[in-house]
Amino acid sequence: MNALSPLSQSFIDQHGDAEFTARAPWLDQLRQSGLENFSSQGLPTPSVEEWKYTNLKVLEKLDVSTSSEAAAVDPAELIWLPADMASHKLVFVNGRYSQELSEIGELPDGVKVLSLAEAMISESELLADNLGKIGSIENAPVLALNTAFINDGYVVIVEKAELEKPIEVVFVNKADASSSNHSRNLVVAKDNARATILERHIGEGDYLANHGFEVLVEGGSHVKHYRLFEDGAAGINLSTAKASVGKDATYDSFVLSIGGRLNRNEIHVACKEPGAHTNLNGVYVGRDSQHIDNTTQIDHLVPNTTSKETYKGALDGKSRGVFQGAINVAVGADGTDGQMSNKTLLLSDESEIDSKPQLEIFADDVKCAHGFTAGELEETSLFYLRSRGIPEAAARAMLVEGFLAEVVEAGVDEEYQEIFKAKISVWMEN
Amino acid sequence: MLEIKNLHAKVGDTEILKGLDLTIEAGKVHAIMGPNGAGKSTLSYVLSGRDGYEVTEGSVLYKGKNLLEMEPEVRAGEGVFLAFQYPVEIPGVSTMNFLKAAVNSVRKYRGESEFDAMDFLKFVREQTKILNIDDDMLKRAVNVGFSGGEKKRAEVLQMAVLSPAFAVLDETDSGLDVDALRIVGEGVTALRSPERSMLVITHYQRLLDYIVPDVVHVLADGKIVDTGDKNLAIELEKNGYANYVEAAA
Ligand SMILES: Nc1ncnc2c1ncn2[C@@H]1O[C@H](COP(=O)(O)OP(=O)(O)O)[C@@H](O)[C@H]1O
Ligand SMILES: [Mg+2]
Repeated sequence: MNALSPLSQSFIDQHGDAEFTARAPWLDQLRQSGLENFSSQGLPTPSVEEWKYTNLKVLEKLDVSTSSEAAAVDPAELIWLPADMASHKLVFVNGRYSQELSEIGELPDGVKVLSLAEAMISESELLADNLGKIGSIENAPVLALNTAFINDGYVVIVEKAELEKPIEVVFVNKADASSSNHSRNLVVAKDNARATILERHIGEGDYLANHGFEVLVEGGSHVKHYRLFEDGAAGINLSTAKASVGKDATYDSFVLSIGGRLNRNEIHVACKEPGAHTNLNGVYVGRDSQHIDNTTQIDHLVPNTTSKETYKGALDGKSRGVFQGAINVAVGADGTDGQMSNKTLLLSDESEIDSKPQLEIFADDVKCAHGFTAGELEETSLFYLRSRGIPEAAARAMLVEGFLAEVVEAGVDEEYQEIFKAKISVWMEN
Repeated sequence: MLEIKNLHAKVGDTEILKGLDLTIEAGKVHAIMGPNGAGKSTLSYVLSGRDGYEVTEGSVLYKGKNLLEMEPEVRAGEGVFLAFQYPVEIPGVSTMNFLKAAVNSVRKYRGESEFDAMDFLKFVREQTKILNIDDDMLKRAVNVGFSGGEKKRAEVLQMAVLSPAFAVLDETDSGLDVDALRIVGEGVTALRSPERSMLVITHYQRLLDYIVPDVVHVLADGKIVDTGDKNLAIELEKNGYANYVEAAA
């Protein structure tokens, strides 16, 4: 075994000092397995294929050994959804659930929305059955690190019920000194359940937010998981989501990456039973020296499962984008339909995109396709708008917004589209 | 209104326009007919300021000003409009937002007040009725998934709301069935006025039954090779361009 880097070692040292409030023998064991897995390899380096384009060396500038403390947050900063859009709201400050800032409100029968700490008391059996089970930490060192530190996060359980209002989750990072935190979140939807989660990541100062998500969608259920990453300029956000999709169930994921120094957004979806479907959509915009990595893997494990994936980005300045999209079709998974596309507008000479599709198909009767493009705005389109009197700068902005809006329209329910489009417009104006 | 003198233009290394002269007075409708590849669309792009169309000789005066040195958006503000032979798809941008941005841009340029959303809707609806365009089309992305007829009607709608002083219509009749041709032809004719000149580029005489031209030109091999009245169009329909193509070669 290679010696661990000082950075990796500092996480392990930190674990020794950590005080976990969520306690149970099975949970201690789970954390221990995460720690052991992480200790055996440390943080991934670019020599690992999946991390070829994203170097976590930037973390060396942070003092990750300090766990984030609670901090005062002005509720005004947390306002996101329009006032008339009522929601069940959870707020996490530096990875910890904030009772004062949250407002879960009334929930219909069959629905539970709570913090992991609370769920450890009231739902401990369900947690024990699912945490660490949906998402394997095999070949996932960052999730292994997250597992070593499981202590808080959100838990959503929906069984035989339809949640009308969205669940709104805000992760806010705010630390005087640099620090790190690891939220672990769980969504379980069974028996024709319906739920929409709108998640927003914001922050200030130097921090690492390392989020883990496990999502179980079974028996005709439909989970919509829409996320907005607008971390602070120095913030580093690593998110790993693992979803397991069962019979006739659907997992929709939409991600808008618009902030942060580095954002790695990894999503693995396993379509495990016939009729399973997933839509993965994403928009990324970058400028300055932002680095945005969207890495996805969809496993079609049984016959007749489908996936549709579209990621589009616009990169300016010296920003860099990464898209790695893997589709795996297992032996015998006939009737698989997997469509993937990634398109990037390069708005400056120095911006860059590394786009890597990877199709591994071991079944005969499948429809899989992928398309990748990167380039500048089309001259013809620009001329068309300018010939109608629209000045060049406005015409460019209109084309970029339109290009990105298409994914918002495809990936997000109509009532929530404007929330994301507005963020893109503001980004364009700056 | 428009005075083109000895216009030469190249695309890449190829000279397409080879000494074209054309004068259009205010309120007049001129038609240009000519064989494929004659340079009709090239002329329309040179007049609207598209990149890559390089003028090597000659001049174009529009309302007494040098048109060639203006940016495309300035030309639009000054009242020049081109209905594209192949309208361009703009994914993700609704037709309504596009129209509003265009109209407010030229209004701003012309020192007129900009429309708010409500006023604009009213303003657009007056025009959509004439052109038989339903509101649903305004919600769709610009030209995306439009039929050939819808695209051409959308071009005429843009012309109507931008209220140009000089409009070039490049084969606005191509790809239209009889009904669509009538709607487009009548829509354009309704826009005729003593202050508005038009250059109607077409391949067929049939559009000119609706938009009756004051003058008809034949463009072949980058030059105007014949000029006459509306009867010239009827003759061309009968005899084709063979004579002109041979003469030009
Ligand atoms: N972008 C271009 N690059 C090279 N050649 C072009 C381009 N556009 C037009 N041409 C050539 O210029 C000539 C005139 O084209 P065009 O103006 O489109 O003719 P028309 O509209 O009369 O059919 C044709 O020979 C065509 O092939
Ligand atoms: Mg043409």
